[in-house]
Amino acid sequence: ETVLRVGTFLSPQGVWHGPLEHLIETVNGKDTDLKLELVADPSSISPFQLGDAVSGGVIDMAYLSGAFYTNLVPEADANKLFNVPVAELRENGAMNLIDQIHRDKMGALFLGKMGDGIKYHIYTNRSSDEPRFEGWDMRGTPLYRPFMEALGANVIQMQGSEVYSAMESGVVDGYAWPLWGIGDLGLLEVTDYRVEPGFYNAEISVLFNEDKWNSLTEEQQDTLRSSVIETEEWFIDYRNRVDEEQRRLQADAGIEAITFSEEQSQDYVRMADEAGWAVVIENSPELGPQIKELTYTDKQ
Amino acid sequence: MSGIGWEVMLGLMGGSLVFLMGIGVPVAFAFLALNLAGAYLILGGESGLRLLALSTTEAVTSFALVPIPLFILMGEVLLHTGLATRAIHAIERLITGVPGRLSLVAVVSGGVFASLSGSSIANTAVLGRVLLPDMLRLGYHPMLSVGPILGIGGVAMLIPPSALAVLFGSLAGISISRLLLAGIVPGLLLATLFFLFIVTISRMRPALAPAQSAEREPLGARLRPFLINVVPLMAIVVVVVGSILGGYATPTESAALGSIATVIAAAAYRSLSWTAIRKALAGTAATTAMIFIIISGSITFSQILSFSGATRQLVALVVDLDIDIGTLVLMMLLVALLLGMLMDQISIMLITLPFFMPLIGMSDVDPIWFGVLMLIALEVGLITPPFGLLLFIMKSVAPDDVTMRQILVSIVPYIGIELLGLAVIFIFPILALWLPGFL
Amino acid sequence: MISSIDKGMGRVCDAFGVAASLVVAFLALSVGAEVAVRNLGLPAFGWTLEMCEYGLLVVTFLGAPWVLRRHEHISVDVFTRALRPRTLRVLLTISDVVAATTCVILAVYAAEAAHEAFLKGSLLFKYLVIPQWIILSVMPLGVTLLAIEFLLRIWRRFAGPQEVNPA
Ligand code: NA
Ligand code: NA
Repeated sequence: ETVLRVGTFLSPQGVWHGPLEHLIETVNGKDTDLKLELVADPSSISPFQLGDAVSGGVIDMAYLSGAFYTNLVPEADANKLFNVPVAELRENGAMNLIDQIHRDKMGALFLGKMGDGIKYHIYTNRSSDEPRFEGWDMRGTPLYRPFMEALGANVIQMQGSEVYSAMESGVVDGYAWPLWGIGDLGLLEVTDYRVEPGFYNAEISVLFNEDKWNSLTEEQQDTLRSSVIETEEWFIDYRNRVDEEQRRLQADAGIEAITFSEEQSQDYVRMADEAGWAVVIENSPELGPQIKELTYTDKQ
Repeated sequence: MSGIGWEVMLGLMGGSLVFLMGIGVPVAFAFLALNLAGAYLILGGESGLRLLALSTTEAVTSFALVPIPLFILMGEVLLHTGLATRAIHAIERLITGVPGRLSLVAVVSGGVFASLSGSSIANTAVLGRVLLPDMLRLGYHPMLSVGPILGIGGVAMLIPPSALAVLFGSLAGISISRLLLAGIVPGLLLATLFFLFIVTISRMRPALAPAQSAEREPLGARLRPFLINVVPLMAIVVVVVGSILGGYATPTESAALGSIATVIAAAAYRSLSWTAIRKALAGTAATTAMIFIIISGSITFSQILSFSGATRQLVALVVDLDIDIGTLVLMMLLVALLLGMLMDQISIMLITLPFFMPLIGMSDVDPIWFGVLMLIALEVGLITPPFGLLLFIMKSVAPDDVTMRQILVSIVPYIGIELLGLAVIFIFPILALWLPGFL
Repeated sequence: MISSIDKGMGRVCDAFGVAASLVVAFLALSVGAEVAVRNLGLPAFGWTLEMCEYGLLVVTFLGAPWVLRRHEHISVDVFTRALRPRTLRVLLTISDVVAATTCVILAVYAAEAAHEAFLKGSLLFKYLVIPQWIILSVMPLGVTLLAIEFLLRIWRRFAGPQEVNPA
């Protein structure tokens, strides 16, 4: 029996863990000699080192968001910007390109991508009729800082653990977070509004150590590939269900949606995308445009 | 991993750690040595060691730790500018004609400093340097001289600002502002208990604290230095707490404002000098480096333990035992108290919280209440032998003829009082939860 | 020869002590200034958080050799306190050897990680874009100095000027 060591960048419970749990169950449920075992989570390997861990072979497989390993693969910053569904990326050669980049730069395969369509949202305590936040103090991370600046906000950096206190006392007027999980951070009670058009994807990549991969039999490799694809397909219903739950949770907590006209919403999303791609292409002038070409369509 | 059971591995790791510390390897390096072995055997060979190098670096590259040096800086500035000495002398003028006078001065000054500084080390050093020589000269028994200073020194980590509470909150993933507020009443409770103990014992056995000829000053004259040298310092507290509540700053940022306010206060008293600033900065840097290298070693240690699966197994084992949560909390506090005899507070938090917090999270226990109980248990560890941080600090600032033996004898009643306080908060959680309830 | 290394180490460590002190001042002033700037309605600096994080790294690992030289690292002396001076010297020497070896191994692998990041040209993409090898070099530098200092402690114990405190 081949036991493969898996690591996740999130604590192994709650809605975010669902896809990985499904993947592990899928592989272990198949009639093969492969077994996935979850050995690493943030209590054992920091999210910022999970990329190094899978690259160096401390773990065999990583469930990890692109923002955490840009030191190894700067192009991973683009993962959040893909708006072509993952099934199509497998058809049009995008997955092959991304996979090759990961092999070259970190010695790992890019096996698959979860999280398609989980959107980021801006959460605030101030209402606004238009998508401009001139002079608002917003908590920012490098992930969406350029977008916040494009919206006219004053971006303030702070740790995640201080957002609660900062929202409560008014140090910041808002923050961005995926649709999922603001309840886990206790932020429901200090948030009044959610800006409704979401932007980007809270994506999660599945990476696999290349040496370990090459040591597997072809049959084992096929099992892993097909399990990842099955999970990607399963994910769509799962996402819709959790999206709905999370919206309800926020509504129950009294969080109101801020909506704009269709045109304004489109501009808003385009502005986010442009700010994001500009950074990707600046950091990777050669591969960045190639990735954009295959993974992104400028149609709303 | 490799065949041996997790119990054996946990025992080996823990045992080797105690052994290395026992033969005199500095705590930080005992952790680092164990981490090398753990990384090689558990994470897996050389790539494990390379990953270890990355984690050891990242462990301290964290903004969540910034309040620690800043809170220490507040204490060091008070110490080196002489503001602390003035405040103590003012409190000394105010308290007269009571038995055990200087011991009470120590408790009251310690309480005031606890609200001005987040560092038990700096507070103990201040009181030890300023008050202890006088106490010994007047013939105070160690139980009423060394003891109260050590006891009240620990309260600084309960009453905000507190570097340790901040660290506890961020490691345990609970609200830092609530935890800080929750520490106030228990901190005052402990100070009051110390106060009552001193009053009682010095009435019963006057020989322990020889009475001084009371110079009968009018109240006005006694109050004046207090109003001039102590009350204005409370502006520092207002800056720290007010900047958070007023929406001007995050808790981390308030620590920076607090240390700047302390420097401004020193300037206002015309006590600021380059020498004082330099000494305060150097003292802070040294204490920070000393603490942070332990943090980096022990964070990585608990990461390796967690990777090995020992952490999960132990939690699962305790969950399976199916004991009621009250007993479980008592067991956790006992573990913290026992570890407190051997280790520093930060290492204990790093080792135990990954086990404890998931168990607390699964129950309906209020994590803030649990946090306060843990902080008190950790505070006891500051003065319990063989490894008690404040004991070493006391030994280094006390006059040379004070022996470690005397120090150890002196603290017994204060450990008892702290355990009593722990029991009271355990039985009456409202004492901890009342203040944060207003948030 | 060794005594001149010892003197040199003293200077290097003191310099790092000054650097660590300056970092502490930087933490207070930069975070304080950020709050002031923001509450005046001016744009936030953006770099404060990460510069403070790197600052803590510097204080920890470059401050550590300086602290070691000042005998301020915490150790548990309860079991060793009762020993005869001869036995104590042997035990302390063993513990210094353990610590020095630990630091050397850590230095090797940390330097390797830094070197690898240098070859790959890895960058840390935050508000500031910084080559990762610079950040990864701090620890190997610090632990190398720690290793030297632990060895010097042994030398001082047996050959150097007699110290009052053998620890
Ligand atoms: Na305090
Ligand atoms: Na202790």
